Amino acid sequence: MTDKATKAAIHVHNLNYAYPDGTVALEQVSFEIQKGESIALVGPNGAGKSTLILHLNGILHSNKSRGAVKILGEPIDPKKVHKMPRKIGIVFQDPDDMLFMPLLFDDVAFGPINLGFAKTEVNRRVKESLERVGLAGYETRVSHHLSGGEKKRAAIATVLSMNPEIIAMDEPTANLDPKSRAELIEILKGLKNEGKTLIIITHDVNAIPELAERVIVLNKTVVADGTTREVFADTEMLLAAGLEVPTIMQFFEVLQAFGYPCDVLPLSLEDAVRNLTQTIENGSGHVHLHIHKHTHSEVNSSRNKHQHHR
Amino acid sequence: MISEIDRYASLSSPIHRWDPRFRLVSIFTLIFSVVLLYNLQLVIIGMIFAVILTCTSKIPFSFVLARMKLVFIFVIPFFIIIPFTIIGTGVEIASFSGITLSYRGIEYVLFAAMIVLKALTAVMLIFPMIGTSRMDITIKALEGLHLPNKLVQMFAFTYRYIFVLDDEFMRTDRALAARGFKKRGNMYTLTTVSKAIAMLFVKSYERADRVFYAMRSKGYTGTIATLHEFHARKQDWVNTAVVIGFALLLQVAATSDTFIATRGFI
Repeated sequence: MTDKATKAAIHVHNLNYAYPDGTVALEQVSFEIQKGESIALVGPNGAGKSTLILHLNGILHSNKSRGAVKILGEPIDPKKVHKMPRKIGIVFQDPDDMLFMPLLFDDVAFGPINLGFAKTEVNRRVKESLERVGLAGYETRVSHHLSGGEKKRAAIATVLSMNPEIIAMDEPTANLDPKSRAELIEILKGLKNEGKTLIIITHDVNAIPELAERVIVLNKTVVADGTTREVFADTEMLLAAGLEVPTIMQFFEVLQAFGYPCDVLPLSLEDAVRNLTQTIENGSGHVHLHIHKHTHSEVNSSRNKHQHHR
Repeated sequence: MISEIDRYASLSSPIHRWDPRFRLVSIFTLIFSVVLLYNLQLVIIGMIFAVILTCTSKIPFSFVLARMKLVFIFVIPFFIIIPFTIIGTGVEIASFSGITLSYRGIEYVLFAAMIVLKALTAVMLIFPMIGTSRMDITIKALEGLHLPNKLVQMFAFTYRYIFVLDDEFMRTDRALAARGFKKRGNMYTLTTVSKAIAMLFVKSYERADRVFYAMRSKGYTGTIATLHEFHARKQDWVNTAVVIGFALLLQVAATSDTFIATRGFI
């Protein structure tokens, strides 16, 4: 392996940041993300997730943050933010902030033109990016006429057209109807399978198992960092951070109280189907559930464990 | 909801087919020519030409008139203000608490009419000028005309975010209404609405920040470039010659003795 290949995609070491009014937003944040990894960044509202993401290409910076962030092995120079899009693209939370040009074509072409690509290449990238997010043929649409889901996807296309190695997204699935949400998750999965390094801010815990193999919990500082399973196993930490575990995981915990044999709780619906099939096959075509004298108290304690107001 | 000036951009007319760069320059010249006139007859001729252009563009007249109404409300006071504010030697008709109406003042009604007509003509010409192509194409035409990039950016952003701001204000307005707020002619209404507008400014400021961040994240360094292609045909030059020719003709006529200046400032 060459030296370059071993370099982390994102390396953050002791990053501190305070808002202009003095409120501390980030405190001693440190983590490292390898190339091709897909990470969910979770944390309560106001935990500094969006602030952290804006540090990844140098848009936000302060004396305290100097040298704290390295992208693909190189420290960030706040004066060279315009050179960053080749390495890292950021999808903002509000697509209206990202779609500022007269036509969708111009918005998607904005990045590639700034990066100095020739006209034919710009055209090719715009077409390809819009196809990737399922908006083929939307070139001449006006962005303020798009629906919420279309805007979210369009915002992603404006970043894809720059073909960055790393993509950071701020709540890509927020405020979407179930269909749009499902479409968006498919797009993100596609990017993940393509080998892009993804860092996804989300409150959508049920989507995390499909999108990320690793979860970082941020609450001004890194509270937890581990595989999705490890982080979701620590219910107490998650509750303290104002978060929760996927519904399907909670449900299987309840099933355990009813006597369902299950060592490893499934995280996603896919996992659950696999788990059930396996259990039923092992039980020669049956799954055995029962109620004994402790069942109710066990169910209650399992449910209480995940409650925010007890 | 703000109605869009380019609502009829998809129609097909000689004005719509005219290369937007040529169209912008030509009609802009005409607007200036009309505004610089000081003769009522010439202004009327200019207005007739504006009406012809608007008709040729097939933009429904009701659409144009509805938008000119607002301008009319702004300029109508001239009819009242000018006759009463002329200080001259004319015979007084009436005088009350320092405001004098003289025969001289009544003559100036024509002067007021000229100002009003000039304003209306200028506004009417805006419709064939920018109402006949989609806003994005107009913006690209400005870029194609090599206007200063900062100016083009300001124009483009104003147009893009005026709708976002409008939406935002509408949300505030509804939120107020949903909690029982009713606009009345009192101090409470005034303070509430002005606070809401102040909040809109704060929100706009924050949005401007975020948009700027987004632009920087996409490699923005100060200039915006879009891809555009305009090809001038013979007809574009002919149209331009007609409109600019007419604008020049108005100015030439203004210098002749036939059309003396409608009495303006003495």
